[in-house]
Amino acid sequence: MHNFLREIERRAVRMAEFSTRNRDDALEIVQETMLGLVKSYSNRPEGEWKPLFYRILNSRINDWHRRQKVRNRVMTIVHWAKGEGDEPADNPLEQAPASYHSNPDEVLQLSFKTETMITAIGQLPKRQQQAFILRAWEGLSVAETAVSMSCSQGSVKTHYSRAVHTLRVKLEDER
Amino acid sequence: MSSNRELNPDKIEALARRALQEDIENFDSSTLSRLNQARHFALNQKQRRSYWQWLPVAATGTCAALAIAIFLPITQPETSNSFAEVVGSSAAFVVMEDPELLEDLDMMLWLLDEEPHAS
Repeated sequence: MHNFLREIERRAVRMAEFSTRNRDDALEIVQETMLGLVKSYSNRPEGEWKPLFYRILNSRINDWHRRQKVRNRVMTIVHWAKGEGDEPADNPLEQAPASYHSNPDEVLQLSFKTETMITAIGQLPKRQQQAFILRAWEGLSVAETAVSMSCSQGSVKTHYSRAVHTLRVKLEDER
Repeated sequence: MSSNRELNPDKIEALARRALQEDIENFDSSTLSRLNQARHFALNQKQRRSYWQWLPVAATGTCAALAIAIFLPITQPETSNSFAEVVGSSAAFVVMEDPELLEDLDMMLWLLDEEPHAS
């Protein structure tokens, strides 16, 4: 289990960070995922761990989005009640940080192409992003990806092909 | 057109894999340290949980042993080990089974009484 977690943890953080756009929140989500896997599924065969891990991760990411939505609503009401929020900034694009990287040095270290690709993946719709990362990066099969995403295999194929198409268009535009 | 041909799904996958891999290899030391802590914390929880898993079993075993130790002497029927009582009860049982033996027993008892006198 130790080796499995060690091998998968960085990719999990990256995936969570794509979705939350915040490194600290991503780390918390990954820690919760590790705990969930260890508590509930450590007795399962090792071959099942990866899809189960990503299933928990996706569930935690969804929980995070739900909590954020509630928090944003509350904050909007508070701002509005204080009279500060004539035009509340509820546009998620305005609230999002300029870069997905918490450390500016990291950005400098990345080549232009890498940064372009990372940005393009980060801009994919959530489900397309999950399907693409799990299939292309994690190397999960369509069936395993479907388990991880709690959806049908047909949906996985659709999300994945749309993600590839979107990425192709974006990368072509960058050339 | 040629660039479109170049960027087939396999090529996009390969580019993405390389970019993502390069990205996670540049994680800062603080992130790596926190991941390390998170991993160890999760695995320690498992060990702690495995100790606690045995608690109900241990508690049940202890209770069962205590219950046996307390109630067994109370409920167990009193047994007597004296030879005479065992013989007496056996004789009574034998006589009840076959009343004719009673006459033989009387005969034996009479003979035992008579033998000292005879000597």
